[in-house]
Amino acid sequence: MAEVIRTLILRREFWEINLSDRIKKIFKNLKEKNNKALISFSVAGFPDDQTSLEICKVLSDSGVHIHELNMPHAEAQADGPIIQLANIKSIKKGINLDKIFMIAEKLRLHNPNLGICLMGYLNNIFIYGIEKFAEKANKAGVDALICVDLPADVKEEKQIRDALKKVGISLIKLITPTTNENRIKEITMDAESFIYSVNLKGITGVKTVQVNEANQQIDRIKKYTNLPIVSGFGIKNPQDAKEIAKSNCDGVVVGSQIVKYIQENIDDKNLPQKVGSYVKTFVEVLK
Amino acid sequence: MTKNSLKNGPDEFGYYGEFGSRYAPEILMPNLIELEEAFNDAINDKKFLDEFNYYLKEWIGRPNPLYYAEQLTKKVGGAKIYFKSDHLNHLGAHKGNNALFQILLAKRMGKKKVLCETGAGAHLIATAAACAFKDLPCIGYMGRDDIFLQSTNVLKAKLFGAKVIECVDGTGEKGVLKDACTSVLKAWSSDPDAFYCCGSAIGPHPFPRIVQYAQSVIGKEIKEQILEKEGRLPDAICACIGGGSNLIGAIHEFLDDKEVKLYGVEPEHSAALTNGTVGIMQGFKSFMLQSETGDSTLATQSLASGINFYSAGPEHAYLKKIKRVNYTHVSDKEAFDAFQLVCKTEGILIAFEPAFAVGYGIKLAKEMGKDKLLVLNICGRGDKDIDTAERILGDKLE
Repeated sequence: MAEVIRTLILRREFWEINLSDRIKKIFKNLKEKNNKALISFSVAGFPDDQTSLEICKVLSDSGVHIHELNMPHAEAQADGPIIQLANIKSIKKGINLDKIFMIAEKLRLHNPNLGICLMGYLNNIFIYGIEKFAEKANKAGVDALICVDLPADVKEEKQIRDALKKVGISLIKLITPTTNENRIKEITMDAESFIYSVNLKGITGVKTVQVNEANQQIDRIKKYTNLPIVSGFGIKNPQDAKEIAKSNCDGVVVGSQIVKYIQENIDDKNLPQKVGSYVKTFVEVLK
Repeated sequence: MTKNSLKNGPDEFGYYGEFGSRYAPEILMPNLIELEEAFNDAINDKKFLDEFNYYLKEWIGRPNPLYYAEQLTKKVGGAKIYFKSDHLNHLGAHKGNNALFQILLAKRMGKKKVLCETGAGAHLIATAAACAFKDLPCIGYMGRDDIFLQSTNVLKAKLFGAKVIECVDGTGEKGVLKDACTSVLKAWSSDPDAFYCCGSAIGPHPFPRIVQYAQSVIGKEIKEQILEKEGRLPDAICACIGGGSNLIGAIHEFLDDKEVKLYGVEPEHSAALTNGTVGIMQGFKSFMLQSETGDSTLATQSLASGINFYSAGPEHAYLKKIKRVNYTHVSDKEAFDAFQLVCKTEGILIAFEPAFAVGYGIKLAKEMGKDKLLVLNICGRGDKDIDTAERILGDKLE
C-alpha cells in the first residue's frame, strides 16, 4: 500500500514538471482571477485551409484560452452530423497532417499564449507514424493531444504517451458519464494538463447538457485529481456555458456550435471575423 | 485450453497478434468490458449453453445437411464438392446462429433494447426475429443503398417488429454497411444501456470473439458430418468473406488441423485482405481499404451487399499474417456465373454472397483432383437477390 501511495506521489510530481507549461499557466492565471477557461474548437481545413487558419487566429484574438484543432476523420465515431460533415468536406479538399501542422504553426506564431490542442482519431496518427507525429506537433508549437479512440487498453496509447512526453506534449484523457469509479481512478492516474469531462451519453452537437449531471460528474472526477477539468458536449449557447461555468469545472468547451455557425455563414466574406464575434459572446459570459 | 492452439481466441486486451483490440471512445469502454464479462460468464454456464443449443436445434433447425453436390462435382470435374447448408436455416442464412446467441445473452444481461447494423439485411432479420421471440425491441441500422437493394429483407424485419433506420455517410451521398456500422456505434454511444448485437466478426473486442464463438457451430457440424460421410477431414474449406463471420464459423474448428487448407474469398472490389493496408477504424485494427492518410475508407463495390466491406475481422487479419488461411478474390461476374450454375446443376438458389465462395471453389476443385474433398460454405439463400438477378439477366431470363 505504501508503495502504491509513493508511486502516486511520484507521478503527481511528474505531472508538475511535465505538464505543458503553457496550459498550466493558463489555468493558474484563470484560477487567480477566479475565472474559467473557454476552449474553442474548429475543423482544420474547413471550409478551406486558409480560412480555417484565419478562424483560429480570430478565435485566439477573441479571448479563448485553448483551441482544439480537429484532425478530420470520415468515420468519427463520437461526432454528430455537424462536425462529421465538416470533416468530410475538409478531407475532400485534401487536408492532411502536414497541412494541419502548418496551420498550427502559423497559429502559434500569431499567438504565443494560446493553448493549442490537436484532436482526432488514432488512425490518422498511426498511418502518419507516432514518432514523426510527436516531433512535427512539437515543432508546430502544439501543447496537447486529444485522441478519441485511444483507451489505455490499446498498445498505441503508451507508445503515443511516451512519444509525446519526450517532446513535452500532454495526452488529454476523456471521462464520460459511463466511466465508473475504478476507471476514473486509473484514467486520472495517467492524465496530464487537464481532464476532458464529457457531459453527455452521446455524440457531439446533438443533445443539450443538463447542468446537474455535468456537475455530478465533475465532482466525481475531482475526488481523484487536482488537474483542471474542462466540461464539454451539449453546450449550445452562452447561457449553457454560463450555467456550466458555475460548477466546479475549470473550463468550458464549445465545439459543434462553432462549426455549425461556420457552416451557416460559409459564404460570408468576413467569415473569420463573424466567428470571432460569435465566440466573444461566450467569452463575455465567462468573465 | 491447449497451449499454442489457434482456437484460443484473443489475448486479454482483445488482440489477435497485432490485430483487433478495442479502439473505442471512453463512452463505450465500460459497455464493452461489461459485455466481455457477461460473455465469459455465459459460456461457462451450462444452463445458458443448453438453452442456446436447444434453440439452435428447434428454432434455427440445426444441424443442417453437409450436402454432396454431386451434379456440380460432375460438371466441374475435380474434387468432391460438399455444401454446408446454412442456407437451409430458419431465416435463410448463417446470421441466425449469432443473433440467437447474442439475444439470449442480452436477455441474460437484463437488457431492454437491442441495436444492430446490417449489410444485406440477413443479420437484421435474424436479430429482429430473435428479438421478437425473446420480446425485446429491435432497432436496425442499414445503409440507404442496401435498403434499396434488399427491400424484401427490410420488409421481413419490419414484420418481426424491428424499426429500420436508414444510414448514409457524412455527406449523405451513399449508404452501405460501413455507414451502418458507424451509425450503430454512434447510436450505442447515445444509448449505452442498450445491447448492441454486432453481426460480423468485426468491431471492438469482444465482438469478434463473440461472433466467432456463436458461428463456430458451423465448423463443428462440418467436422462431425464429414467424418461420418467420408471417415476423414476435408482437404479444403472455402467460404466468402466480408466482415468474416461465416468464414470464421466454418473454419475455426479446423484451425489446428494443418492438413485442411482454408480459403476466404473476397469480392474483387472490396478485397481488404488482398489489397488493404493495416489501419484502425470502427474500433478495431485490421487490413483496410483506406486513403493514404488513414482519414477515410475507400469506396468499395460488390454484387453482394453482405460482403461489401472496406475491412475484415481482426482474426482474419491475423490468420492472413501467419498464412494459415489463403485469402483471395473473384469478380462479380465469376460469382454471378457460379450463382446461375448452382441453380441449374443443383436446383439450389444460393445468395450472391456464397456465390463468391462457389466461384473460387470451382477453380479450386479443378486443381485439386478427384480424390480430394472440398467443402463450400453456403451461408445464405438467394431469395433476397432474385430482383437483382432479374435486372442483370433481363431478356436472357426466358
